[in-house]
Amino acid sequence: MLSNALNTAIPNVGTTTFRPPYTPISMAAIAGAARDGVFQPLRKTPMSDWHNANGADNEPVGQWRRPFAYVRAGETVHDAVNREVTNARSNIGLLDASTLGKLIVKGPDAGKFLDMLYTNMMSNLAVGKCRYGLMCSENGFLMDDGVVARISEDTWLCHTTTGGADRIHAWMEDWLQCEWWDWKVYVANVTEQWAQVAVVGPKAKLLLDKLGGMDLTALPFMQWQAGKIGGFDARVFRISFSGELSYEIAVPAGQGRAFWEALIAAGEEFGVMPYGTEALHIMRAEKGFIMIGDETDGTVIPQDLNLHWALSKKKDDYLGKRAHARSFMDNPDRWRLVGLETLDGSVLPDGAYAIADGSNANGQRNTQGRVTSTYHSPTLGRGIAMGLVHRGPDRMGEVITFNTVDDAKTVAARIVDPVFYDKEGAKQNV
Amino acid sequence: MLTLHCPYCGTDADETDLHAGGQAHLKRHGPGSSDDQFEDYMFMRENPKGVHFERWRHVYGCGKWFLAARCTATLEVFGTYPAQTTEPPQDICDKITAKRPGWTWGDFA
Amino acid sequence: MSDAISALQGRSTAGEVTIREAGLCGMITLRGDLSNAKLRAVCKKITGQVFPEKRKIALGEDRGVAWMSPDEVLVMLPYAEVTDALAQIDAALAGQHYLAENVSDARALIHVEGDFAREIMAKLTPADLHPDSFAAGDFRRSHLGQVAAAFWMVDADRFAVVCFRSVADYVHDLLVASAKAGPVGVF
Repeated sequence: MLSNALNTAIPNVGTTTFRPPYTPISMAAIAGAARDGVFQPLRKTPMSDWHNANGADNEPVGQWRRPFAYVRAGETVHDAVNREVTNARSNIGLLDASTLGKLIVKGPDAGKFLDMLYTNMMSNLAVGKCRYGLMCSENGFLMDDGVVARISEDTWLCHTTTGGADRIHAWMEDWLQCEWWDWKVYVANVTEQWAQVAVVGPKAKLLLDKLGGMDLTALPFMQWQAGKIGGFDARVFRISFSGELSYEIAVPAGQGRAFWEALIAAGEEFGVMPYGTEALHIMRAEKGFIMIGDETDGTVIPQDLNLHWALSKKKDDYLGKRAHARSFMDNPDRWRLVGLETLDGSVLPDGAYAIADGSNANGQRNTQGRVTSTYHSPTLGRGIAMGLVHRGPDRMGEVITFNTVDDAKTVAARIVDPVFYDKEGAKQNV
Repeated sequence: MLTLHCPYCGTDADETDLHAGGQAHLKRHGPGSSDDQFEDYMFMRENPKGVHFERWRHVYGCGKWFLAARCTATLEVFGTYPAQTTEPPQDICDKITAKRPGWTWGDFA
Repeated sequence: MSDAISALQGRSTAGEVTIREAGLCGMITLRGDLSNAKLRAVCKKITGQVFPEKRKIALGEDRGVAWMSPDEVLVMLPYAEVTDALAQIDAALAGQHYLAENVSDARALIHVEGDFAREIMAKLTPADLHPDSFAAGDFRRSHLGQVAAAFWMVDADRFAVVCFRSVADYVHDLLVASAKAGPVGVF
């Protein structure tokens, strides 16, 4: 090829630059120990063995294996998912949330530091309270989200996504070591110190009151408290990713399995059931909550997801703020988050594109949006979806057309508000 | 394999204990900077065949970031130094000059 | 408090070299100015050990202090004493910039015991484990296979490995595989 391009004979093209290894080695030497059972590390939570003994159909989440759903005899996976959603919305569901990242950020400059990392304010969060926060890269793109809890005057606990635990820990260390090295802040990754269980549903408080040890009546939404639950050392965070009354409870990992089993046993009379990641996804989608990695793909900024409220106007600087001022970021022509309802009630194909008139310079059909999350909602009995659509929020009620893998078939969907269920938040605010 | 001396814990760290962090000595431009300054900071990078300054983290070791001066063509390492600096230390520059007279890199020489 | 269990609940795989999880072990991550006299004193009070130099571990019967980085040590002690030790650290360092967190449940401690324990380890890590470079008292953070690990020698035929709880199974199985494959005869 080079000889053709240079119009010269092959011997005159020369050789490539040689790089090590100079001597051929076998593939087995490269693979080393990475074969069979130890081909790659599979990370386990303190409750993983229980899940696997109780019908867990696992899905990979990085190196973790998390239950997608707990399938009972005679059920399909889809049946199990629907049952888990319905049960969490009417009784109680338990989610193993241990994989979520937990980073301790401590020091006299910790508040200032978190104000640089999150787009919203964290320094003014009161001790005992929780706040949802967003993190952007310097390019302005969303990279992680989660609930931050103020533990004490100089200590914050930052929850990250499952995939974000190591990544955001490294991100924090990078800024502290290489840019703001005179700031007095220490960070510790305590993700694996805690087993965390989300106790979710209208009967969640009944179950926890039965176990006893803490007065949860005195724990309002978006606050946390340390104490005992049924004899377990616990931190209880009243936060909700499902829209239901919900408590996320952290206990030391060594007590995680016993705590989980205590919840299952005590919850029997209230109809407790564990639920997996798919039910988690459906419930958050019914509420219009975004998921890093679904609604975001490394090109999405908070403004695209209508999260302007989480971009502090009080702060002179935070990571990503300069990038948000670039002309194509600060622009109404971007694809923005909306809800999508198919006219026939079907479930939109994941990743489907909304087609537009005409074609581009490469002869490809023009597009005007795409599906980011799509599920069958057992609560509403129909397909629900979220997507990024060109000027989406300005086009409420408009019907647009999505492609499918079958070229001849398209699906029509109406642009709607992304919150499909309990818009007022009455269920989590009891 | 590349071996870099970690200036924090003193280990001669194998490449697999390290995480590469791209070009060293970038100057951050935040709100209020011009589009050109921001573009420089975010996207414009040296890509030399020869002397280069890089960020490395001793990620499986002591967890510290450090900076390394090395040759991208031969993998020769001229030296490593702590990350809390905005320019390469003089002794590293002298070592490079001894081996690659006339070298330049960004604003440094 | 409910009874806590360790990651592998003391799992042991016997062979020419035995791979054995040590059960519950108290561990505290302590970050701060390691030259600070109060910090050194409280470590000594908790562990009875002289503060370790860079890349070293000061080890007693069931307590120790390991040098993790220029601003971090790992304090090891009986599991049941961690809460009390944290209170001692908080009292000793009140008003200073430091971080002390209980990480006992976040980790697993695994012992590698037998004639060629050194080779079993050396096959899995890039760290130089030649007897001239690594002996009792040395402490190293690196990786074993594909995960982070810290390790030291208890005596000539015994290594201790600390890894994250979630990958304790993997590290155990990896060490067993390395032991099964036998000695290499390099050292």
